Amino acid sequence: MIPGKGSSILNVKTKPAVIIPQIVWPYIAVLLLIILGAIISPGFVDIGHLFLILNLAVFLGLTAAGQNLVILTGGIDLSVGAVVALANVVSAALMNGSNDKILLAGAMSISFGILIGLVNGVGVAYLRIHPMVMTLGMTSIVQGMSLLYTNGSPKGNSAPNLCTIATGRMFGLIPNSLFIWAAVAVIIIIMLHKSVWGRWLFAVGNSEKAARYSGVNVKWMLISVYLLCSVLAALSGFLLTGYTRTSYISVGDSYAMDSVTAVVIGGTSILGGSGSYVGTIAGCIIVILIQSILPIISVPDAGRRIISGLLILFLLMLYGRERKLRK
Amino acid sequence: MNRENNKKLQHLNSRSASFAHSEPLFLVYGVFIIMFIIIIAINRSFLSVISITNLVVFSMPLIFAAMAQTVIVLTKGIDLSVGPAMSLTMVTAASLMRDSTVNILTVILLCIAIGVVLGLINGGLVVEARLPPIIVTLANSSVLTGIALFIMPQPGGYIPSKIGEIVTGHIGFIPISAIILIAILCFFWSPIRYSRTGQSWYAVGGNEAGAYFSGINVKKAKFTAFIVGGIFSAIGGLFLAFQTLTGDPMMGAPYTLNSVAATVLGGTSLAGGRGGVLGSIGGALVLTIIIDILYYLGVSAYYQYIFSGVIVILALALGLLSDVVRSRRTVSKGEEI
Repeated sequence: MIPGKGSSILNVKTKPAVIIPQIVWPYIAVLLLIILGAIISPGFVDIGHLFLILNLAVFLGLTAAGQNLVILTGGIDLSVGAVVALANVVSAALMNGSNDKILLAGAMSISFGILIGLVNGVGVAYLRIHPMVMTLGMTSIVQGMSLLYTNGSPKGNSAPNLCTIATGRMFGLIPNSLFIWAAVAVIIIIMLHKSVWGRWLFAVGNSEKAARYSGVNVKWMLISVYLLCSVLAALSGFLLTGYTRTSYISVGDSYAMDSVTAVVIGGTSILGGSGSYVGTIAGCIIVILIQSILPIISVPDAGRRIISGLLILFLLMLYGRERKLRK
Repeated sequence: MNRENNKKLQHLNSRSASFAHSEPLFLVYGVFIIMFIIIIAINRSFLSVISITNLVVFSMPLIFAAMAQTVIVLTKGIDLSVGPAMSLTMVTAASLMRDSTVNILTVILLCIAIGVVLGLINGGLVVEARLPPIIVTLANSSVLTGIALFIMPQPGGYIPSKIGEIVTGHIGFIPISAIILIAILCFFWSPIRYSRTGQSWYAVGGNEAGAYFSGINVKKAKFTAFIVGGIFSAIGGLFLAFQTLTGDPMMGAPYTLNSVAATVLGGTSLAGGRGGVLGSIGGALVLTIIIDILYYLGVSAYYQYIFSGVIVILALALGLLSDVVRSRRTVSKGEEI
């Protein structure tokens, strides 16, 4: 993301060449990765397999939606992974395979999300603790809650109907959960780009002080953003129960870092104030694609980590650079 | 002219820096002393050379992780690869060390060289490629964990027990690791911190554009911060190896986020430009002694997670509260004048 804070006004140099909008880059990367996958294994571009990848991306996509909102305000939420795990553990234990209890489990997961999000928001907005440290402390607390709730050994499993929602396919092809993601994505994109709330969000991300002086209630904005982030993470964890069928304490471990990676690869500035969920969607797909291409070439775990780290760095070099200090 | 300005700025910086970190230092060590008294109240036998040595020895990896983090945070960066860097040096040490003294020293030097290289890589990506530090070090942490797993897929390896005994031992009532720490602070840290480069970290962290326009070499400041950070991470990894006498490719991982917590507890601002390593050492000691206290209280391991999270948040909230009070006080003083 080259344009940082207010750089466009000064740089009036016109470039005659064709200008590719920033938002296209992540999608080009998705295409390149799919082509790479096809070269490695022809079965990779099978439509059913591509939808399977999208199905996997749903859970990361929901978590990254919240993360995106938080990062747009210039913060970061490291507790999403722990929230995903807590929602997963709680909903599996509550449902225990019965369809009647899906709503109860969903409601409980979301309420935990609301509670955690509120605490995060109050800590960041009112106690003015740095978001990274606040959510880091929260991670520890939420992990402790999961462990306490399960006494160390998670029990229960998903209701069959939830499994259908999470993994079932409409017309035998399109995953049902994709519709949930699409709905959330549309709402988030409209909220970000067409609502007053969205304008305020970008304002807070660009300059909290300026936003406050222009009459934005910055504290409430921050609380609403952290609240939404935890709720979306909880929703993701709840749906994930339908995918994994049982629950694991460590199910959410990778989500915190993966969601940050997806948001940044998607072109949102880690400093806040510029970006969009449209790019993040591509970012999520990129992260999942990288994770699913590497096992095909049977790279051992060590190699997978090295390659995925290098790929992310490479993608960032392509389009994630900050502007020069001199400008 | 330029040079004169530099000197002035340096002078100003040194003053503001020393003012800025005197109060948090007092705060974090105050908390540590209170916790120390609590732990002795719970368990009288804690007041012995062996248990205090153990406390210091077990804090050592976190202390160095926190110091590594602090140097980088001072320049307004952050290093999420501290833990994996420690794992990497730990497994390197465990897979190369043999009994001869020459070999031990060579491996220690090699590990520190690895730290320098890691700092160069992180610094290069942040400074030359202009990528945000948080995401560079996040990607690098994945790469480093991969390399550590490649060197040693399962925990194992060999560390001569004689070096372990030296590092975890004590002379009289002073733990040897404390002596090593103080030696590193005096002969490695201080010369750098009070050099022109060390001062420039504070200037760059406080106001990067301002530092640039006053002729400070911003790139060099960030580069050196990452290199010194890498060296501290490597030393942390070595301590981890000497303590456990093995190598474990995943053992460093938790240190990344704990180092951030210790740094912030020690009064270093994540916004950059304010704080210092002495506070972070206190922060690391506090985080270690919390676990000890919870252990002696017989609190279940699950509650330990919750307590340590709550304590970090509470400590920060209190620290910020004192900030607010202080700024009110100075404002009212200003009005009187």
